[in-house]
Amino acid sequence: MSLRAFSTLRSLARVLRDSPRSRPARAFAASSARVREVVPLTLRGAAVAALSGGALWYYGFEALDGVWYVAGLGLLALCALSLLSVLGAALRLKIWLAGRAASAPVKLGVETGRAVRSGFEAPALRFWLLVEPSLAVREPGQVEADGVRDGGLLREHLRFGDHGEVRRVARTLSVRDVFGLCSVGLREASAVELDVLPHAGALRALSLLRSLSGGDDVPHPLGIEQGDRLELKRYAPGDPARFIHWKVYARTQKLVVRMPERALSRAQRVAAYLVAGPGDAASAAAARVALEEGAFGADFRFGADGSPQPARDVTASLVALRRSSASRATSAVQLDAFLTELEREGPTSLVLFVPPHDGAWVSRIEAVLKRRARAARVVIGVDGIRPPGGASWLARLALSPAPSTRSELPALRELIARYRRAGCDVVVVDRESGRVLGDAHLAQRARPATREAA
Amino acid sequence: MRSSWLIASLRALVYALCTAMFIWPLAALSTAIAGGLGAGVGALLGDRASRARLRSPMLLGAGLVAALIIALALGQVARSSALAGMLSPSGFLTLVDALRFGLVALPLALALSALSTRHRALAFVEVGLGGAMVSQLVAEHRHGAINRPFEIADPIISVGGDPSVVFYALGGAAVLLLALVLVRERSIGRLIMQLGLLVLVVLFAGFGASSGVLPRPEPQGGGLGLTGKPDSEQNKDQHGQGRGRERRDNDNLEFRDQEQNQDKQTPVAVVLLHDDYSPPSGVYYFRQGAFSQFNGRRLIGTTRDGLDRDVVEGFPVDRVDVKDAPEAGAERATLESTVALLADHTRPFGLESPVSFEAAQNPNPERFRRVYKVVSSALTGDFTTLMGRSAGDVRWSAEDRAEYLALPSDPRYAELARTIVTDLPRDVADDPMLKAWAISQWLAKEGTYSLRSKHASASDPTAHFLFGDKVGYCVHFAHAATYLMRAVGVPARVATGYAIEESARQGGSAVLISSGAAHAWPEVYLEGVGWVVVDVQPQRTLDPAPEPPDADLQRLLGQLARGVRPLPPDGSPPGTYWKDWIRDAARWLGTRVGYALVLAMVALYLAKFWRRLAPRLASAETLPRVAYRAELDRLAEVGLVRRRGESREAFAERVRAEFPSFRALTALHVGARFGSRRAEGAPALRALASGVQSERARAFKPWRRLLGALVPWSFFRAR
Repeated sequence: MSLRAFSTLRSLARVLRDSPRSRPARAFAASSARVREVVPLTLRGAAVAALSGGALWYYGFEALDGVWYVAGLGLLALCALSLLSVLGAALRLKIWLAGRAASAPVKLGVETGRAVRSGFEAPALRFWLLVEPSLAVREPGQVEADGVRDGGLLREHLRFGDHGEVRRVARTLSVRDVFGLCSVGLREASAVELDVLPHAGALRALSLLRSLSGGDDVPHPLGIEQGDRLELKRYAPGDPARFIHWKVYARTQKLVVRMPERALSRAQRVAAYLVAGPGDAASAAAARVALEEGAFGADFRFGADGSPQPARDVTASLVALRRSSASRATSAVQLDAFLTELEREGPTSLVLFVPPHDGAWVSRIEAVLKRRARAARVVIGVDGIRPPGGASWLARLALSPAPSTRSELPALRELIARYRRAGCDVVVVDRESGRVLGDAHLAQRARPATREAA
Repeated sequence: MRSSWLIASLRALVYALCTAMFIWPLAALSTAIAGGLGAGVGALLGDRASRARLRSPMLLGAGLVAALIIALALGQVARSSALAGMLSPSGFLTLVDALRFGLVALPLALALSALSTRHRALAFVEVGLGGAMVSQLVAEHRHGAINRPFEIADPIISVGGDPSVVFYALGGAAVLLLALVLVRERSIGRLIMQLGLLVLVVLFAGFGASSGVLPRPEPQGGGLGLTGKPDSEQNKDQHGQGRGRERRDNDNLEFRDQEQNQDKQTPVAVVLLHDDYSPPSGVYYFRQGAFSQFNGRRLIGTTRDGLDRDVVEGFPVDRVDVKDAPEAGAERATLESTVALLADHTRPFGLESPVSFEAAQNPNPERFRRVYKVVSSALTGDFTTLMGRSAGDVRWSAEDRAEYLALPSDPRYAELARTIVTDLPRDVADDPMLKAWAISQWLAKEGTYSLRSKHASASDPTAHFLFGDKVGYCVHFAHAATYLMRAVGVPARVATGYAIEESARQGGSAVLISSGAAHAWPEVYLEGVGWVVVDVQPQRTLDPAPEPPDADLQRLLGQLARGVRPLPPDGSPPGTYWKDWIRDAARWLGTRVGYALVLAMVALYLAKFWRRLAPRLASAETLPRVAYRAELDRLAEVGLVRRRGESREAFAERVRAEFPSFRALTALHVGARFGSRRAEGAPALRALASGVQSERARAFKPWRRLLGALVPWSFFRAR
C-alpha cells in the first residue's frame, strides 16, 4: 500500500515537473526575458557599475584613495564603453536585418541531436571590438542555436531536441560585450521547412524490430497459450538466456534460442500506432526505425496521435510520426478510431509504440485492448534506465540532480506489468545501447543500486 | 585560435597577483608568493569545479570550512616545538606561514572562482575583492597622506616624483586585472586588441585623474563651511580693489548636535611662511570669514555696508587690498605668506590679519587648486601689551557699534558677564581686553569641549549651552564668548578659519592645514589694533586629542607648493630626477629595442633570402620541397595564401587560372612528400618554378611585387 502511495506521489511529482508552466509563470518568464533583451545593462553590469560608483564615491572622493579613484573611473568608463559598443553594434545589426533581402525558406529533413544550418545569417561583427553576437531560439522549444562564424557572417546552426514539423523559427539575436556587462537582444523570425525525425541512436542494429511483422495471435491448440518453444533462431542481444539451446551450442558453437511456434492462424497485416506523450522520443525513434527498416512487412498500416487515418506507405507514416509531437495533449484518444477503421479490413496484428511513462494514455490503451479480442505487442522505447535506490542523503544534499532522460526502473517495471495485465507482449528497447531489455536485464539493472544513481 | 584555457589562465594569474599583493604588507615575501600560488591554483581548479554537480551553497560552504580547518590545523602545527626543532625556528615559521596562506587561499579562491563562473552576476564580488586587495596595498595614502606608505612613496619622492602617480598607476593596473577576470573572449587575437583598447581607456582615466581634467577628490566642507565650491555670488574673482559689499549671510555656521568628524586629517591647504613668526598665543589663526550680525538666534555675516570689510569675498586675480586692515605698528608686524589650496574653498583665507591678497603662479596645478600670496599684519604683542586700549573704532557710527554689541535679549548673558568681570582688579576692571580675556578664561575653565552636544534644537542654542551643561564645540564657545563680551560693552564678533598650533610647524616654514583644523573663535576690536583673537581653549574635552600633523607630508606638500623638487625625507641628497630617469631609461630601452629590431630585420631578410636561394643549392631529394616553398613565398608576397583548412591541392586548384604552373609544381611536391620516386629532374622543376614566376609577373604589377619583396616577414604567411 505504501509502495503504491509512494509510486503515485512520484508520478504526480513527475507530471508536475514535466508539465508546462502555469500561465502567469509563463507570462512572467516571457516578460523578464523581454526586459533582459531591451535593457542593455546586464545584472553583472549593473552590479559592477554600482560597485565601481560606490567605491569611487566612498573611497575615491571621500577617502581620497587614488587607487579606487582611477579604478572606479576606469570601471565606469569600461561600463560606458561596453554600453556604447553594444548599442552601436545592435543598431548596425538592426539596420542590416531591416535591409536584407527575403530568401526562400530552407527545406530540409533532419534528425534530432544533429546540427543543421537554418539559412539565417547575420554580420559577425568581426571588426567591432568589445562585442560579440550570439543566437538563441525562442520558438520552437527544445532547440539549441549556435552561431558559427564564417568569414564576415554568423551562420545559424540549429540542433533540435524534439521531432516535429518546424515551419517557423523565432530567435533572439543578442549582442553582448566580452565582459558580460551589457547585452541587447533583437527579435527575428524566419520561415523554414524543417522536418525533424527522432534520431535512431543505436536502434538500427536491433534485429528484433525487423520481426514485428505478423504475430501469434491464435496459438496452436496443442501448445500452451503463449505457444510452444519449437522453432529455433540465432541468438540476438536481449533474448532470454534461458531459451538458449545449449545442446545445439555444444555441437555447433553457435548460440540459438528457441522461439514460440508459428501461429496456426496468422495475421499477415500489421497495424502500428504511435502513442505520443512526454518523453516519447525513443519510442518514436523505434517506430521510425521499424518503418524505415521494413519491420512491418509489405502490408502495414501506421497511425499516430494527430494522424488517425491509417498511412499505407513509409513516407506518409513518417509524416504522421513527425506530426504526433503536436498531439501529446490527446495521447491515445484517436487509437480506438484507428483500430475500428482497420478492423473492417480484416485481422491485423497490432503494435503499439508507447511512451516509457505512466499517464492518462495507459488507461485509454487498456480500455481499447479490452474491447479487442486479439493481443497486442507494446514497444516501449527508453533512453537508458535509471536503477532504483539512488544517492545517499549527503549526495542529494550536496549534488544537484544530473539532467537525465533515463527512465526510472521501478516505474518502468510497473508500467510493463500493467501492459502485461492487459494481455500485451511488452518489448522494451533502449535507444542508447540498441538492446532489447528483457526481464533478465531489468532484474539485473535493479540490483546495483548506487553505481548509476549519481 | 579559440581557447578557454587562456581565459582560465589569465583569471588564475589575476587571482594570484591580487592575493600576493594583499598578503605582501602582512607577511614575508615567501608567504605572499605562496598565497598567490594557492589562489592561482584555486582559481584554475574553480574553473573545473564550476562544471561539477556540487550545489553552489555547498561549494561555498566547503570552501569556507576547508579554509577554516586548514588554518586551525596549521595553527596547531605552528605550535609544535618538535617540528620547529627539526628546522630552524625562523625557517619553520616561514614554512608554516607560507603553507597557511597558500592552503587557505586555495579553497577560498576555488569557491569564489567556481561560483563566479557559475553565476555571472557574482563577478562583482571578484571585482570588489580584487580592487580592495590592490588598494589595500597602499591604503595608508588615503585622506591626502600622499607620502605614505613610506616604502612606496619615499623612492618616488627621492627621485623628485609625485607619489600620487603610483596610486593612479595601481588603480589603472587594478582595472586591467579586473577586466581580465571579467573577459570572456576566447580568440587570442581579439583578446589582445580588446586589452589594447582597455589600456587606452585606463590611460585616459589615469591621465584625466592626474591632470585634473576629471573632477578630483573633494573633502567634506564641514560644519563651518570653509571648503567647498564657491557659490555663484562668491565665485566672482576680485580685481584691483575688489567689489563692493554684498550680502554674506553664511548659513553654514550653524549649531549642530553632531559636528562632522570625518576626514579630519585630510589636508586642505599648505601655508608657506616667508618669515619666521611666532604668534603670541602659540596658535596660528587663518581667518576666512566673520559673523557679527545677530539675527535673533545666532550670528551671521553682516548685511551692512562698511562692516567686516576685512573679509574678502572672492579669490584674487591680481592684487586685492583688504579694506579696514590694521596697520603694522608696535603690536603688529608685516608678514608675507603663500597659501596653496588643496581643496576648493568658499573664500580666501590668510594669517590674521590679512592686508592684501595677490594671485600667484600655481607651481603644481595637478596638486593644488589655487595659490595666492597673503600679506598680513600679524599680532606680535601678547594681551598685556593690548591693555589700556579702548574698544571699538572711533570711525564707527552708532549703528555700527550697536551691530557689534547686539546680543540676545536674555538678561542672563549680562548678569553672567558682570559676574565674570567682577573678579577683575578694580583698577583694570574697565579694560576691554582684560574683560574679554577674563570671559575667555572663564569659559575655558567652565566649559567642556565635545563635538557631540544637544543644543541645536533650542531657540537660543548659545543660551542652552552657556546656561546648561556647557558642553559644546567651537561654535558654541565662540558665540557664548562673543555675547558675553558684547554684554560688557566690548565690540566682538565670531571669526572662522583654521587654527594651527605653532608646534605643528615642527621647525619648518610650511604649515599643513587639515580639515580638522577648521575653527571658530571670538574676536574683539581694539582701537588702533583692529580685530584681536581672544580664543577660548577649554580645559576639559570629551573628544580625543587631535593627531599631530604628518611632518613628512607637511614638508612634501610644502616643497610641492614652492615648486621645487621634493627632497628625500632622510635628508640624503636627491636622487636623479624622475624625468631624467625616465629619459635615460627610454634612451637605454630605445637603443636596445632599436638594435633588436634591426637584428630581427636582418635575420628575417636573411631567412627570406635563404628560402629563395635554397632551390639553387638543393639536392635532388629536397628540391621539390624547397622549390615549392620558394614559389609559395612568392605568392604570399602578393597576398595569395592558403586558407585555413584548405589543402595544398585545393589551393593550387583555386589559383590555377592565373598560375597553371603552380598546380603542376604542387603535384610534384605532394607526390615527393608521399614518397613518389617519379624522377622529374631538376630542370623540369626549375622550369615549373620559372613558369610560376612568369605567371606572377603577368598577374601582378611591379610595384605590388616590389612591395611584397620588401616585407621581410612575408614568408610567415606562406603555409
